[in-house]
Amino acid sequence: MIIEKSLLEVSEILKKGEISSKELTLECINRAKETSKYNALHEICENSAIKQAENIDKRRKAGESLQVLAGIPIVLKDIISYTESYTTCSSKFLKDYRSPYDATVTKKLLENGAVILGKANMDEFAMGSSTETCAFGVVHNPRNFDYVPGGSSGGSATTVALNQCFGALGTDTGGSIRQPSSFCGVVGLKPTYGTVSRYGVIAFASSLDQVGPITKTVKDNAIMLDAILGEDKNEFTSTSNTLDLKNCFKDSIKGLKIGIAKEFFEMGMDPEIQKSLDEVISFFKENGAIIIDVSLPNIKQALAVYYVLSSAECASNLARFDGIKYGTAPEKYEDLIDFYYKARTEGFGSEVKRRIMLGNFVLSSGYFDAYYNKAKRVQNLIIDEFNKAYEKCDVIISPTAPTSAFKIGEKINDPLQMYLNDIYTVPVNIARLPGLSVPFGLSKGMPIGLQLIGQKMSEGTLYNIGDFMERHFNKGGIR
Amino acid sequence: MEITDKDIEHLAQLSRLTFSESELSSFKGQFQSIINYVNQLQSVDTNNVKDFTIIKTLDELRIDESRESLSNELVTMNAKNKSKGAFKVPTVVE
Repeated sequence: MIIEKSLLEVSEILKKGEISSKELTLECINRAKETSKYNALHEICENSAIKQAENIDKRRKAGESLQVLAGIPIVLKDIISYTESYTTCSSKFLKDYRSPYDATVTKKLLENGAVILGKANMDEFAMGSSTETCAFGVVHNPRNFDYVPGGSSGGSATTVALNQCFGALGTDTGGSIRQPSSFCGVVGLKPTYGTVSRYGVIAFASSLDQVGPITKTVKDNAIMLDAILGEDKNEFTSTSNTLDLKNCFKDSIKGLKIGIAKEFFEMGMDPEIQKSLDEVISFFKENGAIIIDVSLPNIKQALAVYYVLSSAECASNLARFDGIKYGTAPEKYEDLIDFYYKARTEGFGSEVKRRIMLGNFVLSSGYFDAYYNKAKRVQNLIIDEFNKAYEKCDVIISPTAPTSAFKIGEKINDPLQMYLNDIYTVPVNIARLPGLSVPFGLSKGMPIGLQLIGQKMSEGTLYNIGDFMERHFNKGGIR
Repeated sequence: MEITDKDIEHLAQLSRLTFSESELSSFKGQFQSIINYVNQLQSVDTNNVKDFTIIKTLDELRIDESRESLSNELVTMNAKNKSKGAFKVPTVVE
């Protein structure tokens, strides 16, 4: 079936004229409707998607040479602004919100000829690891309906795994692209901080947030990243360093130095994941890579650092949600302050409220130095440790998550247990590095991902290793 | 440290959020366990470590000139209460 093809494959098929973009888009819309019970999408942008596809077909017919992404249906996480749809952040607060402008990443996808198929459900304001905090219902794991897809970009990973589209954008503040990619058996990248513009992407924790692609294959992921990266004058933290992905695929890992940090193994890893990890390490050795032991002693502090910093930034960023300019507005109120209380109390879900409260706690007088400043200093220690490790190796590997997907409802009432899911992914955001999750086996019958952590701007190296694994490593039945 | 009802009330006020009695009690326990976890940071020696700050130096400032921006209609399109192209808010000063 055409919808099962990779983005790269379908791009060739479109180029040859074996199918039109409109036909392809209609196939994806049908597939999305047939599989709507998984709740991956909040909205299908049917009319605008068909119009975009027809336009590409017209240009192709006229003999124009088009980009790889031209005419291919792509989904956006519902935190990314798009004028043809609602942008709700899966929050009741923004259920009627329409952005008056397109995010830079949306603009770039459209300039590359992509067809924007729809918006993916997510954990409310990207706060969660299971997509259970979505105000519009939980998203179901594409491989087992009773399980979570991970989060917060659970809808984005699910829509790709269900073949509703050929790629999706997610955002990753502490693992929100990589962990759902691991749970759903797809490929997800959190780029180096600053590589992709956050302009028009609703902020959760601005110093950690980064947009990245979720795809069926590693090569597809590189195609999407190439389309969305680059400096943006509208975004102060976007970097002018350019990332060249042109010759990154070498089909060889000979001589690459792959680091293993013993601290990652002391964090409580599922035995089946441990076994897959041993297998992939042997595979790397057999193919000429050099395995090197490295040490990241403070990596176990990363989750605590993350919850202090991300909550502090969340409290600041979400302070602007007052119900005046957009969002829920109460009908009855006593005065302006009461208006704020009512708008926020009605609009936000309990996880968002918890994080705002935690953020205000660590920022409040008397606690600021003990929590916020302390976390900033430990962040510096963690960055130094990564820098030292990269004097000895090119990449560091770990599982993406400590377990495979868990059941819906299993962890939702215990926030700390939920947070512990992100134990392998948060250090990457804290150190502002790129991280790629590639399927590499099964645990309890559900997919698991290997996380490749690179130095800043080394996405090309991560893609090369990921692609090599995808072709040559036996992954236990994953695509 | 132990989180008290008073702490939670103070934070709720700072956050402009209200909680029901039952929400408050389950919330307090969850909050306490998160704080206990985060307290592990206190054991890390950071005496000789600087705060991590992101400072991007600007080589040149952009020219101070007006640029095209969103129209008034677009900027106010999501407001529930508006009047004559402005956001309408409850009376603040009598």
